[in-house]
Parts: sequence; structure tokens; C-alpha cells
Amino acid sequence: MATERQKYRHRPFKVSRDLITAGATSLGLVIISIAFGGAPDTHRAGDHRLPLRLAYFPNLTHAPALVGISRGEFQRQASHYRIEPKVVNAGPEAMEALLAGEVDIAYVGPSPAINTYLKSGGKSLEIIAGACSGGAELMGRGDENLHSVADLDGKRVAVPQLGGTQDVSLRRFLSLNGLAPQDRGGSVEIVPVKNSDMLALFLQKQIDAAWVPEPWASRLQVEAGAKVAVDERDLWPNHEFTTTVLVASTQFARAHPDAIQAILNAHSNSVHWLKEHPEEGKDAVNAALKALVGKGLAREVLTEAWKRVTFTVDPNRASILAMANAARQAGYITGKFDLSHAFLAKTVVASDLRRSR
Amino acid sequence: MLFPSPYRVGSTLIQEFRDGSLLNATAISLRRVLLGYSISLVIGVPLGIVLARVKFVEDTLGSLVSAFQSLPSICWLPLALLWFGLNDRAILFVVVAGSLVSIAIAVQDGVKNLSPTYVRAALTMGTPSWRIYTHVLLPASLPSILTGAKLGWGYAWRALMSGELLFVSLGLGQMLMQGRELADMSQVLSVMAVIMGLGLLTDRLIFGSLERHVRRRWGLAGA
Repeated sequence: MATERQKYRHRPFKVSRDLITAGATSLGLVIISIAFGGAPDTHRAGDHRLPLRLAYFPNLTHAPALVGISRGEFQRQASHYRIEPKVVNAGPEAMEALLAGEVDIAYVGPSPAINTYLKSGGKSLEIIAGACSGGAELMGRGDENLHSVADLDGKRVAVPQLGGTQDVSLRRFLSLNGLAPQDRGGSVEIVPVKNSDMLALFLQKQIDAAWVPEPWASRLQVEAGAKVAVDERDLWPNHEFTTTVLVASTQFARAHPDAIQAILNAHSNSVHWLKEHPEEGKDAVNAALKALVGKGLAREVLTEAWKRVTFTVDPNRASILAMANAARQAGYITGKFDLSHAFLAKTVVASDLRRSR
Repeated sequence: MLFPSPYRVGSTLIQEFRDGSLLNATAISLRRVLLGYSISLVIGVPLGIVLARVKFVEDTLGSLVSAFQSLPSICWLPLALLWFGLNDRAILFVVVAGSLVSIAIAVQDGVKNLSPTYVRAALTMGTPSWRIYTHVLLPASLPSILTGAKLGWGYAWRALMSGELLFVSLGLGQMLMQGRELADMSQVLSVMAVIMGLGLLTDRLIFGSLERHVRRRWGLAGA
């Protein structure tokens, strides 16, 4: 009787060949997933220094960050901290990470910075320095005769992102020229297109013009035969407008003013190095880009783009405020509009940056 | 540029394989999906059985689970990034959100469709009620659990890929997006080929074999 019960309780379990195949394949996948790809967490054991998480894009306009990391400048200045570089691809993403407390300091465009600042009621971040000025152009298709913003009447213009910096600029300068986008009942069609997809659309004549940042403007020129219709610098006072700023999470800045100072020193040193060594700078930037995204820029594109950007430590308050106002007019910023605490007290930056030189 | 030749895709594949980038990206994606999928299985299968067997749970959680199933899990990404930050936990959350619910629902349907005779017979023969679960319900609904598991794997992959496409931190999805950023369509196609290869591998060798095994055990083979 007992044997009978045993028999029903434990049906003999036969291992079939199918079962072995399934098991072996699963095991193989698990082994691949563990053996390659490196450790998921790069935290080095035994290093008890406080991490300082620095976010930036693999992009020409973030060159001070690229060379600051590759030349070890940040780590040298902030030696009491462990610099953790975080490479991100877009401003909103960097700002999300900053809000989530995953990033302490970030290189980012002024639009996402201002947006995040306002959305958080001025509590999340402050702009501690500028990084890059210039570096955005209105590119016209080779066979179109575009020489000014006013020529855009009835055209189809691409921007990288609705609500992004170039979109806001386009709308601002359209209205200054008495034109309006189609979504406001005007004659200019604005289409959001990823920078990388613009090349193909230009070649297929799907768009007439594009308002794009570097190095894409230069790539459009070199690879798709586009022509510079307007260099955005010419539309601004002193030919200067901010494209990249350095922001710090307010919480981090309050807790670690020494880290902010160290990063500002490193940033300032990198900017000056880039200004004094443009050729070495181009090589360093291209090497960093190659390491981060697998491919550097073509020399021709890099040389062209380099001419159109200026690295600086000055955040250029006036241009940021003008952009913020334009974003509000375009309806991208709603609600309370108070930028009084968006900048780190000016005197601190100026005096300390002078000292660091 | 728009349609790279098979030869170019092949040479890109070889080059990516040689410099290790492909293997690294595959390993990272696999690690994420395996971990997320395991979590989904461990929670989803018992959840499905309970949903099918306990009226109270079905009344309370049932519609919530159905509602979640209609939500593409990538919708969770913005919140997950804020809750967990820019790291693997956020993407893991998206993967689990994608596969857990579909596994639970498939298992629930499978258990519900079992003939009540099995359970009554077992009870008549004096099987203790907890053993009904381990010795009757679980083995009897194994084919539908397997279907659920397969479905869940598909959802987990999709969730992972859409997450990696939007979210920048390693993995196959990011490699594909990098190809897009560089306007390098042969890289995009090579990553797509790897994803399809992995799909074929798991479908044929793992799920296919398991299904064959189960079919044979249930006497459904060779009909």
C-alpha cells in the first residue's frame, strides 16, 4: 500500500532531451549575461570619498566637460570627492536625473535648466556658470535661397524638439520678423525632427530649412549641401547667446560649497585650455566623442563647427532671460515666472573665477 | 545610406563583435531582462493562481490587473526615472511592469479553464487543500503557465528595448539608438539582427523545447 501511495505521490520524473536543451540554453544565456558587460556598478571598493556625479552630453557644446573629464581636471580640483561622470543624451533626461538626486552637477542647455527651475518653484537647481556660447544656425537647403529669418515665409522648417532651445529661438525671431508659425495661424510650418534624421530629410527635400545646433549644422553643410542662412549669433547683442550652462542641484550646492568651487575652478581651467589650445582641444574632444559614442566627428565638420562656438564661463544672464521670456511667449512656460534665484550670486562666481586663473 | 547592403551589415556585425561592444551590449540587456523576467515569474505565477482561485482577490485586484495590462509598460518610464533615478532599477521596474501582469493573466486563465473534476476528484481522494495547489493545479495548468511565461518573455523584451531606446545607459537598445544618432543604418540593422537572433534562440531552444516536453508528458504529442 505504501509503495502504491509513493507511486502516485512521486510520478517518475523523466528528463527528456527537450528539457536538457531548454536548460542548457537558459544556462548559456545566464552565463553570457554574467561573463560580459562588466560589473553593473562601477563603485570601487575602499574609496570612501563622497561621490560627485557630473552629467554632460557627448556633444561639442559640452567640450569643457569632455576635456575636463579626459584630462582629469575635475578630479584634480575636487580631490576630496570621487568624480562620477554620467553621460546623458538630452537636457530633459539630465534634469530628471538631477531631480531624482542621481546627479549633482550637470552641463545642460539653458531651456531645460530654466524649465526645471520654474517647475520646481526655484528649489531644485541654480546656474553656476556658463559653458558655451553660440553654435546654432538656420540652415537652408542648397537649392533654396534663404538669407534671413524673413525668407522663411511659407517654408517648412525643422527643429530638433518642440519646446527645445532652437524651437524657442525660431519662434522668437519669427515674431520679431512679423511672421508666425502655422500652429499660431501663421505661414511657417515647424516640424520636430531628430538631428540625426535631418540629413536624410534634407537630401529628400522634405524640409526647406532647419534651425539646428552644432555639430549638426556643420554636418548638414558638409554632408547634405545645406547653406548657412542665418548664424544665430548675428541676431543677438554682442554676437553672444548661451547654449550650455553649468547647473548644480541646490541641495548639493548648500551642503558642499567647496565642491561647487572646485568644479568651477576645473571648469574655468578647461575653458581656458580650450581657448588657448584649439588644435589639441579639437583632438581631445574628438577622442572623447569617439570613446563615448563610438565615432568622432569628421575633421572638416569639427573645424567648421569649432569656428561657430565660443567656450566661456559667463552664463550671459541677459540672453538666458530673453530666451525664458520667448519660451513664455510661445506658451511653453506657464504659471509663476520668477527667475530671481536661478543664478548663483554673481559676485561669488566672478571673484572666485578670477582667483582660479 | 538608407538601405545598407547585407555585406555592410555583416561586416559591421563582425567589427562590433571583434571590438567587444556587441557582446557587452547583449550581456547587459540580457542581464536586465533575465532579472526582470525572473522577478515577474516568481510573483506573476502565484498571483495568477491566486487570482483564479480566490474570489475576493479577483474581485479586488482583478480589474486592476486587467487595467495594467492595457497600459504599455513604457508609460511607466518617466515615473520610474523619477522614483529610482537614472539607473538599472528604473529599467527593471519597466520590464517587470511589462511582463508580470501578462504572466499573471495567462496563468489565471489557464487555471480557470481547468476542469473542476480534477480538483473534486483530488478532494474526494482526501488530498489536503494546500496540496491541491502544488500537486493538482500547478501541474495540470503547466501548459497554460508555459504560454504565460512565453508571453511574459515577449513583453519583457519589448519593454526593455523601448526603455533602452529612450533611456541612455548601455544595452542593445542604446546601441541601436547610437546607430541612429550617427546616421549609421548598418549598425541599426546589425543590432536588429542580434535581437531577432536572440528571440529565435529563446523561442526555439528554450520555450519550444519546454513546450514539446510538456506536450509529450500530457500525451498531446504525435496527434
